[in-house]
This record gives sequence, structure tokens and C-alpha cells, in this order.
Amino acid sequence: MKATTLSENISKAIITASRFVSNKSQLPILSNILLKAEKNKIIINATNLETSISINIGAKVEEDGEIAIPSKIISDLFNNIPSGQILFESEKEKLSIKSSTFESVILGTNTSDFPSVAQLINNVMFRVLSSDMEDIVKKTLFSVSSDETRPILTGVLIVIEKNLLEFVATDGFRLSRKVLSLPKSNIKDETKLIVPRNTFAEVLRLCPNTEFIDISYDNESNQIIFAIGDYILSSRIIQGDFPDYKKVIPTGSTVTVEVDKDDLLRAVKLASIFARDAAGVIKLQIKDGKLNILAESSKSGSQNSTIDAKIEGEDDFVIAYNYRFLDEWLNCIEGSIVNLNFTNPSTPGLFSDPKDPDYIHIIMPVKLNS
Amino acid sequence: MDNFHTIGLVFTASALKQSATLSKLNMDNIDLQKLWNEVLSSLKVSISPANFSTWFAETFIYEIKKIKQRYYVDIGCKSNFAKNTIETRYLGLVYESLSKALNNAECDIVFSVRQNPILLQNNSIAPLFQPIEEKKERNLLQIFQKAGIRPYFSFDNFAVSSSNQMAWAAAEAVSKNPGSAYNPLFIWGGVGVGKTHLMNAVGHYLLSNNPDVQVLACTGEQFTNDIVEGIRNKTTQSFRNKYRKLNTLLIDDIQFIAGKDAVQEEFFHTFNALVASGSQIILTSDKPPSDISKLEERLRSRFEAGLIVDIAPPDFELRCAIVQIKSKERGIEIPSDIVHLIAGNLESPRKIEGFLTRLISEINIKNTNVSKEMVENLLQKGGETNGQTQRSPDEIIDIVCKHFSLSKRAILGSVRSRSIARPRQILMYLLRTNLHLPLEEIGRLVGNRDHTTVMHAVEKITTLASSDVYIRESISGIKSKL
Repeated sequence: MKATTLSENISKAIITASRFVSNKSQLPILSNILLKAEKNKIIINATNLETSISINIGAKVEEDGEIAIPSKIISDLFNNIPSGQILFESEKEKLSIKSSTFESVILGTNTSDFPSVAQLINNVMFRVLSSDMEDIVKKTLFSVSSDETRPILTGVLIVIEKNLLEFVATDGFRLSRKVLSLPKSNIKDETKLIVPRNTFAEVLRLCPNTEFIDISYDNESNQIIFAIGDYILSSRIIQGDFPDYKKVIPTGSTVTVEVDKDDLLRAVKLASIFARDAAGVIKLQIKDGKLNILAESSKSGSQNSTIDAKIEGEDDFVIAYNYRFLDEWLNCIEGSIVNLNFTNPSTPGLFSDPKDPDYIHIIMPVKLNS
Repeated sequence: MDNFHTIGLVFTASALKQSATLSKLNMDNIDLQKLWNEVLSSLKVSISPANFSTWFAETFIYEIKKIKQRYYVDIGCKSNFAKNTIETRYLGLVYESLSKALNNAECDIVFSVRQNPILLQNNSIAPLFQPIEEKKERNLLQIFQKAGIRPYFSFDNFAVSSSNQMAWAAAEAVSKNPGSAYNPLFIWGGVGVGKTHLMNAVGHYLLSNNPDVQVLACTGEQFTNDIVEGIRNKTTQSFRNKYRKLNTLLIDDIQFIAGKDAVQEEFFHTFNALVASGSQIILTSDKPPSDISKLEERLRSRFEAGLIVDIAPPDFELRCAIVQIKSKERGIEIPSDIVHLIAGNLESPRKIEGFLTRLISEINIKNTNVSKEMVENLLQKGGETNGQTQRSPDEIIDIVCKHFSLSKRAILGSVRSRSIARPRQILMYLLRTNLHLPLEEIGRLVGNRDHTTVMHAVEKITTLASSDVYIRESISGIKSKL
């Protein structure tokens, strides 16, 4: 191959692609990324067999060709390369990189063993604004489980019904659900897909590159493909039955609390200081029209912060939560006011943001012994 | 690049399906996992470890079918990458070893992207998804309450022995097949033998299996009250709606309606309506239908058309089981010798229940463990007198003499041969437990003996009652005459 492109374009692509390379792989070819020159672009492919990426970069191509290059070396190189024109030239299993002030030869490998990676998207099922996608991922991803013994919960469930998209994530202690309605879609039957956590994390990182994201999936190859501008990201779909999340969503409540988000976040952070060595447990106490956040630790001490809140329903109610769950939820809220709905100290509470009625969050309380 | 390779020797799936329906064989006799492991181990030899673990990890045989003389094998691969790589690079090897493993049969291999179902099995339920169960249970409790079913009377805690086996089997059959097995089921027996428990257990079982079933458990007295109220408030229609739309009607102590003409009339119609709609009826009574006086003839004959079973008072083994079940429910562990002691000295399950309540309060107050001495002590104090006319000591002496065919002189005399000493000890035991006489008084009555002799006798019989069948039977024989 022989092609010229700008280093500022290709550096970003190579560094992104290198994130898709598994450093644990036993197969040497999988620690490489593939560079390919054809027509008037350079294509960069990388995969860890779970997810893969293919990136197109405009280039002046004089000679087609492809080569696999160790990801570590090339990404480290492009982390520091000066901007300007760069010439890629491969000969047999060597790749030379030349700029006006820099020249390097990298030992690569033949591409015949490199797995084939999805490079284009066929039959787009639906299109999502990347700002919407960013919002969805931010509001759901933190609830995904990292416990590999329950593979089903390590992904975000997407339920597609006509033009309604539902994103659900849970780790068994909390659950996030965000609904999005689409102006149009090509979906007729209700479809459920579970997309791995890491895939969504990458989608989030790539969102700023484009205005729209096109999505398609294929049950036969068990793959979902995201087209994010010049990036084609494909991922496996997790198979299995997602737990029946609809049953968990509380329908009524006996106590509703409306509180300023920043006040609550600050109180949770204050309480966390003492909760840290008490298994993260903080207590929310509703008494005399105020919300008290309490935490105590036998090692370090205790604290109590009081917040003004609009409370409806039962007075004198105590419920305990892990502060991390509240903290993570509060961090993804845009509005200045949040709603907390409780029924019982041992049943899940419903948390919502009046600014975003399509988003709900559910957290399982910690059982109090008393 | 990402299209799916179709391979020469693979049929198209739709063509396969058509022929498969004609000659699909049950392949359960081939252990798929074993077969695939065999194939994998032979592949391992020819493929480098890195390639093997990358591509063949989590592969499995999803399906295998025999169509005419050829096998059709569907192999699940973890990802599209693995599928494509195996198809393009290792198909030959897979084919060779698979066909060898299938006794050189020809086979068609297809690959599909599937997750190995074994890896998906994780039965632990996440906490968030657990409360649903709890909620269900709470709902079930409410349902039980509405149906008048006592939630702690179920088949699980019903002990069965020869005395109630028949009734239990009938109840079980009814619960499996309500409305058709035995309709009505008529259970009769003395107090505290478990009639209500058994009847409740049927309702419990039906409701736990399907909370939507309409079950109502009430007593004959409640039924009567409902009718009276209906007549008084002119709401007999709502009464009929309540009773005639049930799937299962359980009436306790049906003998109460005997002699009440309007009630019997209404019950007769309710009964007919329910039986006609295939609903199950279970009745309990303290007597068999033939012995219930003032029961209308048409009701009697209808009761007799079903199955009539009786429950006899529990035998020793059953009482032991009851002691164990009840003590477990109350969260205490009673060693088996003490269980025998209790079961040997108390005849009715209700007494056992009362005794255990007393025992537990004793344990809690004194903050000790269950000990033999404590149980013996409590047993000797005897239960509350249950309203029966108390016999005088002399009468008891007479009854004991009569029972053992001994003369009063012999039993009160000084002969110490066992054949006389045992009845004497039993006499002292009965005087102590039934009449609560002071030890000295008993000693004086039984031939001017020392109070320590009486103490010894009572202790001896209390212990023997748990181990000696003869003693046990003698005591219950005498008690029945008291």
C-alpha cells in the first residue's frame, strides 16, 4: 500500500482502534490492528472478538494494500507524532511511516489471519440523535452489573417496539430505564437485544463525532452494528432472558419527597464520609416535614444533615441506602429538583427527575436490622 | 467481508427442515456434550493451543438430527468471528473428527452464533427481583385470609400415620383432583384429631397452586349466621352469590346445622348447586352422617354418597411426629427421648400444643435448655382439668384395681412383686397427675407409704410411658374409664 493522509485525522482513529484490541489475547494476530488502503481512504480495523471497529479516513491512495501492525507500538507512536502529512508505505510485512521530520519502519504481519470485521452497515433499523444516545448511555450505563457470573445483567437491554425504544440496565440492586420515541423506524415486531456494557461505553466515547447514529442488528450472526459517522462499531449481543423488570417498577408510593438535587447530593456526599466504613449505608429519615440524611460509623463518628423538602404522605419514615447508588444516580440528573418515592423500608424506591419524565431509576434499600 | 459463508456440503436450512419433519429421529440417546468433547479433544491435537482456545472455546453442539443416513449437526459458536473462522479454516478438521465420532457416518455441518446454554445457567436471583416473591406471599396471605384458610394448616405440617392415613390420602386425592375425586369428602373424628387441619390443607394447596380459585372455608355455625343475616336483611341473594359461585366449599362442624330446618334447606340447595357445577365440597363433623341426629334424610343420603373417612385419635408414633413438628414450628429442638416422654404422657394433639406452649414459656423464663427433669416436672403437674367431673381417689383406686384385675388389698398392701408394684405405681401416677393430690396424701391413700416412694413411682411411670407400650396402653385404658 501507499497512501498519504493527515496525522491529526489518523492519530485519533488509531488510538480509538487500539482500545478495541485485547491485550489478553492468546492469538498474536489479535494484538494487531489492520491498516488497509483502498480507493481514496484508509480503513483501520480492530477487534477483540466481542466488539470490533472499523474506521474510514480520507487519504490520497496511490497503491492499494493492507497490513497488520502491533497495536501497542502504532498507538504509542501516534500519541506523540507531530501534525502534518504522513505517508504510509508497506512492503511485504513492513510498514514505513514518513512525515517531514520523522521516519519509522514497523514490523507487521500478513493480514490473512485477521478476522473479518463489519465495515459497513446494511438495513439500518433505526436512527438515534447522538445527543439522545449520549443521554441514554449516561443515564443507564452506571446501573449495569460488572458481575460476570450473571452475564445477562452485564449489558443494557434495548426493547424496540414500533417507534418506542426502551433502554434498561440493572445490576440486581438498582435499575435504570429510559424511554425514547423515534420519529421513524423500520421495526415491525417487538425486539429485545442485550448489548454489552463495554460496547455502550465505546458508543458514548464516539458520540461527539457525529450528529446521528444508525443502528442495525442481525439475529443470525448475533450482532449489533452502530454506524457513528466514520466509525462502524459492531458488537455481539448477549443472549438470554432479561429478568422481568416491569414487575419491579413500583406502582404506587406512600411517601413522596421533592428535594433540591444539589442539596441532596451534598448531603449524600457528607454522609458518605462516615458511611464508607459502615458498608456504605446511609439512612434517609423523613420527619416533621424535613429530610434528614444520617450516617454513622463505629470507627470514625457520625453526622446528620437536614434538607428542606416537600414531603407528601407518611411522616416519620426511615429507609437505608447504599450512598454509592444515590450518588451515581444524582450525578446523571440534569434538573435542579428530584423526586423520591418510597412505599416501604424494604421495597425498592422509585427515583425520578421531573425534567426527564422518560427516565426512572429504582434502588433496592438496605435492610435495617431494628 | 462480513457476509456469511455458505459451504458446499451444507444444505440450505429450509430444505433440511422439510425433510427433517419426515424422518426426525430422537437423538436424546446421543450425549451431545460427550460427543463434542470427543471431537474437541481430537481437534486439540492438530490446532495450536492459542487458536484452539480462541476459536473453539464455548462451542457446543446445538442440535443433531439424522436424516436418512446423514447426520445434520448444528454447532453453536460464541461469536460471529469464531463462526467465520471455524467455517473457513477448520471445517475440514471438524468434519473429519465429527464423522469419525459418529461411526464414519456422513454429516452436514452448519455453524450458528449461539451462547452455550450451560454458561447461562445462573439461578441466583438478584435482590431487586426478589421482593416480588415476598409480595406474592403477602398477597397469598391476604387470599388465605379472605378464603378463611389458616395459612399454617398445610399438608407439609400434617403428620400421617395409620390412624389418619386414609383421610389424608383422600384429602390429597381431592386436592389433586377437586370436584371429581370424592365429592363430597366427609371427614369425621373426635376432638383435636386433625379434621380441620386436613380440610384446611386442601384449601391451602388449591390456593397456593392457583390464587384465582374461589375457595371458602367456614364453620357450620358461620353458615347458619350468614343465612340468618340474609333472611333478616332480605339479602339472601348476596348469600347465594357468596356460596354458590365457589369452586371449593369447606365447612367445619357440619353437625351444627342439624335440627335447623331453614338452614338445612338452604344448605341442601347450595350443595346441589355446587355439586352440579363440579365444585368440591368438604365437610367435617364429630360423628358420621348416620349418627347425626335431626339431620334431614336427603342431606344424610347426599353426604353418604361421597367418601366418608374417619380419623382415629393419634397413636404414639403420630404423637411423637406431632411433638416434633410443633416444636420445630416454635423454633425449639427437643431430643428424641424427651419427644417420646411427651408423646407417651399426653394423648391429644391439643394437649401437646398446650404443653409445648408451657414448656417454651418455662424455657424462656428460666433461660435454660429443654431437659428431661423439666419435662417430667411439667408433665407431673398435669394439664388443666378439662371440665370433666373429678373422680374421687377411691374411685380411681377401684378403676385401677378393676383394670388390672387385682384386689384392693393387694394393690394397697405391701407385696412388692412387679405384677402388683407396677399397677400400684400407675395408681400413684394417676392420683398425682389427674387429681394433683399432695405426695404425702397419695402415700397415705396407697397403704401408708412414704412420700418419696410416691415420688419415685410417678417419675418411674413418666419415664416408662415413653418407652413401654404396655404401660402406655394401661394408662390410656384407665384414663378412658375415668
